[in-house]
Amino acid sequence: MTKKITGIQCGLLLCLTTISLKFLAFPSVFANYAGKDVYFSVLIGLMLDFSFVLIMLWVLKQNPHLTFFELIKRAFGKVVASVLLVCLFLYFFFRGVLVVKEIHNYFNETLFENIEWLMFVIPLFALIAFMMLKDFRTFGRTVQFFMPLIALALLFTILVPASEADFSNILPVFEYGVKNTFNAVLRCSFIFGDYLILFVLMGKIKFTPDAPKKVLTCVVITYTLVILFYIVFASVFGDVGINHSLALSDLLLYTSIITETGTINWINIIIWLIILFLEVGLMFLSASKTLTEAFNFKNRYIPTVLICVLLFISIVYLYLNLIRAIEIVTSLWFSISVIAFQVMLPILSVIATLKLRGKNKVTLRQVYNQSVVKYQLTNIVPSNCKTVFSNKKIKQVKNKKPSKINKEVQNA
Amino acid sequence: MLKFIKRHRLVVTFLCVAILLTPFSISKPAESDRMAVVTSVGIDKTEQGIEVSVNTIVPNSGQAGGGGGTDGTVKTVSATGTNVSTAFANITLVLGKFPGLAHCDSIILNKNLFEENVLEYLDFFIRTNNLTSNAAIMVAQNTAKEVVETAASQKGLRAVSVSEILLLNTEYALSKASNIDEFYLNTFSPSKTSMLPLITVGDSGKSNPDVDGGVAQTALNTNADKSVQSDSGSSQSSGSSKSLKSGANNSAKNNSTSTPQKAEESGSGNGSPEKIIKNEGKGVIVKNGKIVATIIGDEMNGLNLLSLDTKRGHIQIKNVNTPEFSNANLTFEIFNKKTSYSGKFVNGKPVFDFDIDLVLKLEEATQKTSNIKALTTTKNYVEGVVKTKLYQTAENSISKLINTAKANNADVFEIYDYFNKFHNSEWKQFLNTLENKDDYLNYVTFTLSLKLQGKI
Repeated sequence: MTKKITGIQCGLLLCLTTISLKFLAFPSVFANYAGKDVYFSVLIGLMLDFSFVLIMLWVLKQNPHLTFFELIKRAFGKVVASVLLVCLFLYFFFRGVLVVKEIHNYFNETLFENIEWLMFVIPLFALIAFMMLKDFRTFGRTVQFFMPLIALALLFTILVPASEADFSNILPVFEYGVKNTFNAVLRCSFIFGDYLILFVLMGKIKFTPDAPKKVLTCVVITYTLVILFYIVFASVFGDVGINHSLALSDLLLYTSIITETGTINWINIIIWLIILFLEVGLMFLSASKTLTEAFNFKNRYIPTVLICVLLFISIVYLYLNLIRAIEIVTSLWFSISVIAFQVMLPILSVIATLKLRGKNKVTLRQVYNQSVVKYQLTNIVPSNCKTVFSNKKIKQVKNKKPSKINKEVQNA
Repeated sequence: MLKFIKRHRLVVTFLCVAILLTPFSISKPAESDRMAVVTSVGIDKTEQGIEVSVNTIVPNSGQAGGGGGTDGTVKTVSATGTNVSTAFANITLVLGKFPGLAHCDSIILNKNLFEENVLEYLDFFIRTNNLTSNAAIMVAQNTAKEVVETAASQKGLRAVSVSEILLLNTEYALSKASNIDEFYLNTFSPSKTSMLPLITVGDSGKSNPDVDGGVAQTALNTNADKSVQSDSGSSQSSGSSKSLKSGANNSAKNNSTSTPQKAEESGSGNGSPEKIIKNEGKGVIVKNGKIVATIIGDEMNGLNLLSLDTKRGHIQIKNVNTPEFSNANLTFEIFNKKTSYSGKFVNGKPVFDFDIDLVLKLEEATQKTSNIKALTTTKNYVEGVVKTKLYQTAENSISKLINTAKANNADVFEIYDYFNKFHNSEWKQFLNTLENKDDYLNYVTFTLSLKLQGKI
């Protein structure tokens, strides 16, 4: 049985990663650097991301059956592959921590006067642990199921304030200089790089000929909505955007329509909660999968427990609050490191692909020796396999008892 | 055991979470015992410091059907502190509950807070996570406490939502939202100018024998009322708690608000006069956090004509002599209004043009002699002498407003914003030619294209 995700599910997971972190605290962080030109900074960041998405789709097309770990291992060795995966793990882990802090902020400011910290954290940890035990296919299906609601919530969040916004507030463009716009992109680079999820999904996608098209369609639509959100944010709040650290809720407060459509506003809030929970689950699931691949854990509970402990230490013990987390993330050295990492990974993937061109076909030995993940079994056909066995070896294989792999293939 | 847990993971997890959290939640008091729902806040500056008055809803368990703010369940509480934060802390002690601002829909400011910089008194509200609504800001003619206490004594929704009084402001007066976000946006804009509504407290003309504990018995400041004529009971709405009639034309009418009372039979002079909150369509211009001018009467009419959003209004002309009217005062209703503006530079100087199209309908004609021809409804009265007088009246009110704005350097038209956005380089060049860049308004030429038509 295959557990691959479809092209559209891959696109939707990429959309979910794109939405995360961009709608709550970071609009005000952007405004702190770029002022009214926040939308321009986001446009530049997303354009760069889009180019890397194209690169990644080419890499995926060339290596439909290889995971990122396998690709890098073959090209550069196991150590490099493990190090890169650990870096990916740290990236997604820290991203997940930021999303958890944003959720706490959202609960504290939108839903509750003051929510008890333990009452919030314990159920959330349980939910995160549960989500980490699932796989990307479950996530893909869930996101696919909720996508119409998510799309409606996004449109509602953007169009309702837009109806009363004064779009001339974004003029004049670059009033405080172009330098500030690029500075904003540099300092907020952590919220870009959403395509890095594709590294985790490598080898787990049913890469049909129209899969890239579906992924690109999802990406273009999501990027457009994000840019529109920032344009509306700048139009509504202008220079005072730095004060609105909960952009999503504050934008909806601005319009008078909300007072007359109270129920719809609450439905919107509930849908945003679903989006936030899915985001946090996806981040930690990605972290868990990268950790599993890096250290080759056989038991999926081990990375789950490890991540929960790390999460406990960073959020509960160290009491890493949102402001402190944002300060770390927007510091110059951290931003430069993140950009270097975001650029390096696709480039390494391209180099690895070019290096292995013609050499990356899967061998039957690798299939039977389980050195290739079992997700790929159904796509192995004789034509895309190299024959490396001699007749003697085949006879030996025939005389052996059926292995576990064969049993699973038969059962499938 | 492990197998059981593995098979029923979800149920076990749910039970664990429930068992773990139940002791925490079961002993907690209800939120309504800890938090007070604050519906409006008033800020005054006294000798002791900053006095904050809040209206809180006191749930009445004897009433079925709930609904806050009905039948005297709104209570006013005041406390003084060195600043707004400490005043709120003292209110916590007085109330015995934390004041929750999530449902606060209005912030009423005393006029004397604008003597220095009103932003220092609003800073608390812009920073607190507590205030999740976009509260409306109003300026009290007298004291904010009086307004808040009067609101508490109102029946129906008006006690809870004081900002209801501004419901039609965007159509009749000021034409700008006066909530806290908008105020900050305008204050930090290049023009640094914003406008806020001015509200007063006055007598409704009826006495109320059953006065609630929260009603202020302070002496009414009669200066506010002397400037307008009292027109008690002029705007009763039938069975609705939203009765508001605010008009831009303040020279003749008093825009009084009144809420319907269950006990309509006011006691025959036994009780004290009932106080009501009045929105007389007045506004104040605030620049850099200080009030620079008050807009009333003709200036407010001019502002209505120039604003893009107002759709209603009246123009009154006097001493009209035509075949139909003899020495008559005619009041025209603005049936339809379309305003646009544009700016350009002519010889390096900014020129701002207003283009106003008005469709007017004769609403009332008062004259001492009666003429049956004046009753014709199929005649277009906007012609000849009437049209000339209408032009003059409209131009006068607009000129008055422009002169007031120029005298106080108050850019109520957002000239700076407009030229900065759409003619940025020319505007910057123009500003560089000025000795005092803040004085730009005096160098702007205003032109007006006014078209009047009558509606039959």
